[in-house]
Amino acid sequence: MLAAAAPAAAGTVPPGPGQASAATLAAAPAPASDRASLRVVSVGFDGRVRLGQWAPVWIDVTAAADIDGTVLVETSTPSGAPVVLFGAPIRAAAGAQIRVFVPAIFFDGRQPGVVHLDAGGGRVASVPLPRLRSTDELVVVLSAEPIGAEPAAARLDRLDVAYVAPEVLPKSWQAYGGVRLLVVRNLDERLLDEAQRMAIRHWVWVGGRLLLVPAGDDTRHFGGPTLGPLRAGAAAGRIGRGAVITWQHDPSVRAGLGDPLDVREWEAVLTPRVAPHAAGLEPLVPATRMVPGRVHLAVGALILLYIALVRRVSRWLATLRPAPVAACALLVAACVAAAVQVSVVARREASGVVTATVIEGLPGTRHGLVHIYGRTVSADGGRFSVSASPEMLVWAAAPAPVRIVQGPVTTLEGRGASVQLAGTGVLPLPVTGVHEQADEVERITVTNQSGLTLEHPWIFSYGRVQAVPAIGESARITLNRQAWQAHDRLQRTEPNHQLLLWAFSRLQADAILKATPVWLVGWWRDPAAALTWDGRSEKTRQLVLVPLEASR
Amino acid sequence: MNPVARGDLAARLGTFRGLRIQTIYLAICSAFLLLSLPREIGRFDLRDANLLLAVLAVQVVTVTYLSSAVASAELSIEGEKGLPDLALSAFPASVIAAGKALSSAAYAAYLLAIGLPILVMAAALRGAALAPVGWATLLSCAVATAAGIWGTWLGGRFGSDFTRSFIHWSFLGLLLGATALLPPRWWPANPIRLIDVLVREGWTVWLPVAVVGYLALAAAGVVLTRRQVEHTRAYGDGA
Repeated sequence: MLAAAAPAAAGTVPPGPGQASAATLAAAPAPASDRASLRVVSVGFDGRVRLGQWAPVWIDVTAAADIDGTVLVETSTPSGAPVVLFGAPIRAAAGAQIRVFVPAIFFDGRQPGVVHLDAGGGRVASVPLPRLRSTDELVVVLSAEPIGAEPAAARLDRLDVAYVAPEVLPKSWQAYGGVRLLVVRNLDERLLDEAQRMAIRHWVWVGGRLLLVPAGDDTRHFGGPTLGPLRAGAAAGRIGRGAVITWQHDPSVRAGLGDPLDVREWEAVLTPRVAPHAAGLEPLVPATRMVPGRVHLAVGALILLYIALVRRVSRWLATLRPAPVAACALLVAACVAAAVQVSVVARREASGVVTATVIEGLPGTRHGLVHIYGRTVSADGGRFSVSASPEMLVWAAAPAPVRIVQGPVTTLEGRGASVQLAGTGVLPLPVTGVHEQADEVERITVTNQSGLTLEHPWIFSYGRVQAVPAIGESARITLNRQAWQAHDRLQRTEPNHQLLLWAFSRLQADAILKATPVWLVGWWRDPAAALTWDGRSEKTRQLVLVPLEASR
Repeated sequence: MNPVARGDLAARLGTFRGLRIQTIYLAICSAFLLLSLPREIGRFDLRDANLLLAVLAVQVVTVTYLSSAVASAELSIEGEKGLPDLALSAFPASVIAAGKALSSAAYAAYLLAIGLPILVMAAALRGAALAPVGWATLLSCAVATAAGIWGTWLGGRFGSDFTRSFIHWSFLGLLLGATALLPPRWWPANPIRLIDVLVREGWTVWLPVAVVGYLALAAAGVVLTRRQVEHTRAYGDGA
């Protein structure tokens, strides 16, 4: 109601502690149900979302009976494209009230969708989502007072400014989609949990921009458990792909004065950030999926066994007594049934996911940003379930009727012969390296604590590339001056050659990555970054990009 | 059981050459199954009907050939008596003709039965419906039975191996090849064309028509076989 009553310029009035949900509370009628009721606490950032991007949804579930189910956000599209369900598991005892976070992608601000609670194989409760305000990008502010960013935000790319309370910040960094700048002026640490802190941290690492300003002369939040590690890890304000900017003055003091100097200062921090999107990865997804050799071998072995069996039974049948005839008929029936079962298993083995996966090291974080593009290859076009580690979010890259649940694992369920997938996540990347250059000798030293071997590695240095031996726990490699090749003239080296070339081009062209001139590029199979198909881990190769520090 | 049919089936199922023929037949079906197993999926549709049609077509051709070739003694099996030998026996001509018809039908059914698991796997691997496999098997059984009884007649009618083989292959070419060249409205007359329809479109009324037609052809073959036995007994040769 606050937001609806008094919008301030392009933004909203800052809420007091615990008031963040007021705007959407009024829009969400409480449904009646015997077993549970739902209440939409918050959608997006103060009701603002960027359509097509992940946004946070907070829902209160009040259980009248024991509930073990899933909260689902059903998002609709104006074009009538397939409905997508986003969900989170919930388990509540009778009488409990639980607040659930669901990351969701919205496609229609006027009729964003419906929230459901499913449990025990049925629908327990439903509530429509309030109308949302679609925006291109947002400035999200944690402040009890207006900070005066609105004039600059409105002038620059017509950004919206949303004041929110800390407790409705997302638990997944992906749900900051559409947020250009997060301004923190007031922060009650008690209102954030560890997942929300990690989400802020990861969002900054992958390219988010965080502005810390004092509240009057209070700067305690600068060193708190949420922001302290980020400030400490940032070198010259930069960490990973993102930035941590600190102002020593409180902008709220001069808010509303419209001083051109203030506007200019805001414009400086509101410049567009470099998106972490791995554009151009989609066409590199392999077109096919190999049928495992064991399927061919198993079918061949079964056929040989069957022929031997027929030869033996045929001699017996030649007596033409009733018993052999009946036994032979039974045998044929059993073999037909077995053939159907073998086919089912073979088809299951032959189905799976094909992906192009890149793990991009985030400088200074010992973590990597995982980009996955892929598609399902289903032999029968039936139901499938793709899951990933909880740090990952996976979604349908093209409209498809899928259900995405982020719980102990992230699960995407759908049906069809082929569904395009995309996924992102931040995972530990415990590989570090140093590039030394002394006189005419170039050398790299790599420490790899991942327990995985980096296969077919390359060194990328200022646009040149050179293959080096596989890297285990550690390596100290002297680079051959004669072995450098231009990265864009590399001859075909391996089946995933195109993905390798894509990575080299990205290292050369990306505004942030090219600030690190030397990279280690190689392949491994990390189960944490892999997708699971119907419970079977797809051990696909992932391209790993590790920034190498320059020796000082 | 008809003694002629009993003797034929015992030879075809239990002797060394009989077993070798079965093994070759199963090997042909298996080879097609293995060759049609995709190396990778995604580039083409696993449910591709052409591959299933190929396997079913190979089966109907193979079973038809084996049924008629064994009956006409083009593929001789130790212990199986041909029409000239049986004409010298004490069995009535009708018993001989009925026995040969029964052995042709039973042998065709047996070959189709032992090939069924392989065919089912070929279809199920592609996620195809299994019903067309059953209908194609029914049609193949009728075709092979008719071919078998006509092969029996050929074995009694022509003493020369060359002439018999020439007419046998001409008959098969007519049945399986020439009918495919007819205008589309006559395509159900060709077993492979009809199987194509069954795989792509499912049940068609032409299936029972064709089955009845082939059974009528088999009945005509039985009559000719009986007359051939009587003729041999009356005139003492196969000409």
